[in-house]
Amino acid sequence: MSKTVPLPSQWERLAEGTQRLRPFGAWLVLLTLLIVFPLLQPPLFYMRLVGTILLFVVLAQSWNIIGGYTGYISFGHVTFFGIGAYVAALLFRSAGWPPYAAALPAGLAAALFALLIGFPTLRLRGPYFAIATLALSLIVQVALANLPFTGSGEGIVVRGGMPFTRVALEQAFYFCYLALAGLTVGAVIWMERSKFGYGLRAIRDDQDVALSVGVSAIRLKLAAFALSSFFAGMAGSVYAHQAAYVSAPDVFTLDISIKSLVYAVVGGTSTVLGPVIGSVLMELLNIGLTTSALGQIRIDHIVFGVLLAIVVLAAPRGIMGALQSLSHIRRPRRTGRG
Amino acid sequence: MTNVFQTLLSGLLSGGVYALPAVGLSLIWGVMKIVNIAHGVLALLGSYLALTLFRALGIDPLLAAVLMLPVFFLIGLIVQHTLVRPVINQPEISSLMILFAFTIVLENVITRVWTGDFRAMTPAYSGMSLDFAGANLSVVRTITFGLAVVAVFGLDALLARTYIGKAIRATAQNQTAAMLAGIDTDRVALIAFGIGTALAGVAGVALGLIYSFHPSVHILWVVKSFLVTVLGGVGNIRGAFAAGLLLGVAESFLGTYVSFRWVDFFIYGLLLLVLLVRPQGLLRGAASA
Repeated sequence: MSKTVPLPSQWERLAEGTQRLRPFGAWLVLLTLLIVFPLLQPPLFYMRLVGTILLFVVLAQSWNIIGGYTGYISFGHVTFFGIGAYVAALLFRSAGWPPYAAALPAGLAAALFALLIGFPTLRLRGPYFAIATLALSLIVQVALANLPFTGSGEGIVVRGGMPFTRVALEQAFYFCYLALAGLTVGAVIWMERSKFGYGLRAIRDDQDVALSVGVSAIRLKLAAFALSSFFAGMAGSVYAHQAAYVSAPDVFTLDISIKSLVYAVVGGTSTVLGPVIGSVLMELLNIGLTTSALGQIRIDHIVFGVLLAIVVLAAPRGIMGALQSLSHIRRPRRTGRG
Repeated sequence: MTNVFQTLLSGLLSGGVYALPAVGLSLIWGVMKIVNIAHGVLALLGSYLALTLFRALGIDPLLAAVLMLPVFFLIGLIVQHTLVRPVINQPEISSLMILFAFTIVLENVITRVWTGDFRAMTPAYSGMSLDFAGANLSVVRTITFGLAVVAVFGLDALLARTYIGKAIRATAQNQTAAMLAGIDTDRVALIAFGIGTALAGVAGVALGLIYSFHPSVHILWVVKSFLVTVLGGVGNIRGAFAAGLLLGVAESFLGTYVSFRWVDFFIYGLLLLVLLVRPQGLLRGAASA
């Protein structure tokens, strides 16, 4: 159908010059567009929408590190998001830390917690790990809702961390999410090419074989879980400031765990692009479902569940998998013609 | 002293009811080697259906519990046939994911139909209580305990005495050997899922009679069932009953003497602990009915 357009030669030369950046070209263009976008002063609704999509890119992509590349499906990704949110809220209440300063300690706290509980749980087989992570998110929620220093049931107000005007405030949160999304996607791109990433995939495909060729399974799995939780924790810290209020039922909602999983799986796990595409499409669908006339009947989760079921039954590798198999079908025809 | 007896008694009564959803979960797990995370939400559907039958038609929840058996058996067959069977030869995480998807959908369908409010079933006998050796014995808790005992030991007898029961146990113990002995293991898996789901429906009615419920409470139910199953040994029906009683008593004492607010924390923590230490169960498993 479509003709292959030959690259202009000056573009080719430019591409040669930036050989090392070439595989990331599309990502850099996307990043540039996303940096420019809020400076064009779009309506706040759209800025917030893109910001929310970026938040879910962070969550789905970080879920992908443990759920996709490592093959340990987590039903409790919100645990680390929530811990990050609480760390940011506590740092704000006690020392007035703004979100960009709180992100690092929040991420580290989440990663540390992941190491602590990953050490025993990552020895379990997949389904047990999935249920353990679900139980864990409930445990942490109950604990934080009842401990006195986390404000018990009342939660913590996180307002005024960023003394800006409304537009500047929205922009600041937008850039926080953009930075986190960039970091997370960057980390996964690095992972794809690194020994670490190969080790993880080896474990996922056959742990015994991986062990026999000298892959230290538990260390790699722990590192992946910590990395995944690190990004989720940082996302939580920014969210705490954006929501201006942190309480256990709010930041430990199963909704976040479901969306992280569904967006990544629908987009296609174990790929860099999958969770990004999944987050964009599914979050747009989510907004469409909740703001349209259909919104009154809240069918978003029903649609998510049905999509997840369809993907598991019919296209286990998600949108990316479907696209790849389409291009595999097309490729022989193209070479035959050329 | 009376207080200790009272705590023990109410713990035993609610513990029996915990065993009810757990035996269904345990049966499915033992036979199909899958963790049915939708078990709690299926039970919850039973609670809501009984609620509607009671409110709209005045059908007593105990009668509804009997009506649930065939209805949920059928639901179980459908779920197994359309969702679980297609992925049964894929990595076990696929069946967990598909059941998770089903759970999300059903929870939200329930929220759509019955709203997110807390609900309770209040038949005439719900407020009544008996005096038993100086302790207060709630009528409705005693009835649901009886219901649980009948269902659990009914299942136990079914597994021990009937052909399909023996086929189920054989499949749980060794699927290949069962197949070689001429058992249609696909059919056994289907029927086991149906029976397990039927028990979930009954469990939902019992739980709905003694606790108030709302659309997301099923997570707590499935986690408790999971815990009871693992404590009792996967596929071990009597073990699940004993573990249910144990959990009920532990919860009751914790709630009375420590703090009601930390009960859930204790349940989830115990689950995590059991998973870490002995995920294959504390008692001998494999459907040794």
